[in-house]
Amino acid sequence: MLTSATRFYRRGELARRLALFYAAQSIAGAFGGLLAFGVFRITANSLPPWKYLFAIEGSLTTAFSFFAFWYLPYSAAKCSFLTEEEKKVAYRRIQIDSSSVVDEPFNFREAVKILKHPTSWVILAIEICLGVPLQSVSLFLPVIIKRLGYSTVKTNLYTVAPNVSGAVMLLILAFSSDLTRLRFPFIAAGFLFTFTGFVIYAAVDVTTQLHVAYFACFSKLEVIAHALYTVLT
Amino acid sequence: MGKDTKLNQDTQDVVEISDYSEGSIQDMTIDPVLENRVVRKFDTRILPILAIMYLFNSLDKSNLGNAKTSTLVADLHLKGDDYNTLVAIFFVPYVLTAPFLGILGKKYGPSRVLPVMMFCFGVCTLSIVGVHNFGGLFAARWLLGMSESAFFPLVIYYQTT
Repeated sequence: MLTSATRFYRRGELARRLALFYAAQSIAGAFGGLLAFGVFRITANSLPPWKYLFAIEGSLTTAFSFFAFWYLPYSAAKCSFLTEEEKKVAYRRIQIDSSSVVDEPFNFREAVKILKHPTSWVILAIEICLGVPLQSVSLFLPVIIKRLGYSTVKTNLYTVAPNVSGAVMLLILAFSSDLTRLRFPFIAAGFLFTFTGFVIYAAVDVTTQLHVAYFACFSKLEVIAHALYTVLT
Repeated sequence: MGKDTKLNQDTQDVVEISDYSEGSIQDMTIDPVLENRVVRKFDTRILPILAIMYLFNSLDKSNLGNAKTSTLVADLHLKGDDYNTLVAIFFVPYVLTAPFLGILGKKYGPSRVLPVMMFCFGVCTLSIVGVHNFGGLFAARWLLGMSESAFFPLVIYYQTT
């Protein structure tokens, strides 16, 4: 899946760096919650408060896309921040690392070949098992927490903590997984914890056992993100 | 015409690359100090930008949940399963467009395709400000799903391929 030549990173270097992206997803949840917490306190009547949220987030996204278009280099050889000597090193280390050709052209028949490997299908199945809880938590966390009976403004503030703790836990676990060079125990434990989180939330009466339910939200998030990271690397 | 310029760019790349490979095949040793410096430069100049882009990608799809805790449902007169449909519909184009965006990414380079996709889902998010009913938000979510698909695979591809 992640084979072929490396544009910036060697394969062994990528693992920990990918954890950052899974953390980014949790941080986005935290940031979104915090922003919503602030924006929903706007009491101007011209627009409903949630429209300000989309307006702010949409403008930030669009603005940043222009910067990214201008800033991102096409490949390591085109990085203006590398000296000529460094560019050579960047290119050479990728050649050593990789089994396939740099800048190979796209070939549809070659691309479909991956479907013949049984491993691809196993990874696909794992991805689906991860994707369902991950996406549902990231999409529904505010709604889930709202059900615990907080006000609109407070609800969004309360989504921040599970997301932040999720991101921090993810990075800690990712580094320890790299350190121990073990994947399976981490993946299995990840699924187990996620399962526990969901079961707790389903089993308790959320209106009376508020703290238990809120705790369940924490364990759900942390682990899913982490498991996802481990599987991919 | 666009294709011609692209071809030129490709040949240029090849020339550059053969420059680098000259004499380097025999001599495969790399100065570890220099290599560390290169990796650290990637870590500080490329990685944060990509992480921020991915953060916005994630934010723009999950902010519907935040909006729901406000007056979204009442303002758009949503009934029954309408909200769940809006959440779910995102993933239909998200899956369907992914292979095509993946191919585009490979062809024109993720450094171009990723920002363009980001611009598109930024505009989709902005367009939600003008939405008045279920149909409008449905369309916006559909287009959002289209422009956000294959983002993460392309980010990985950009760094590794």
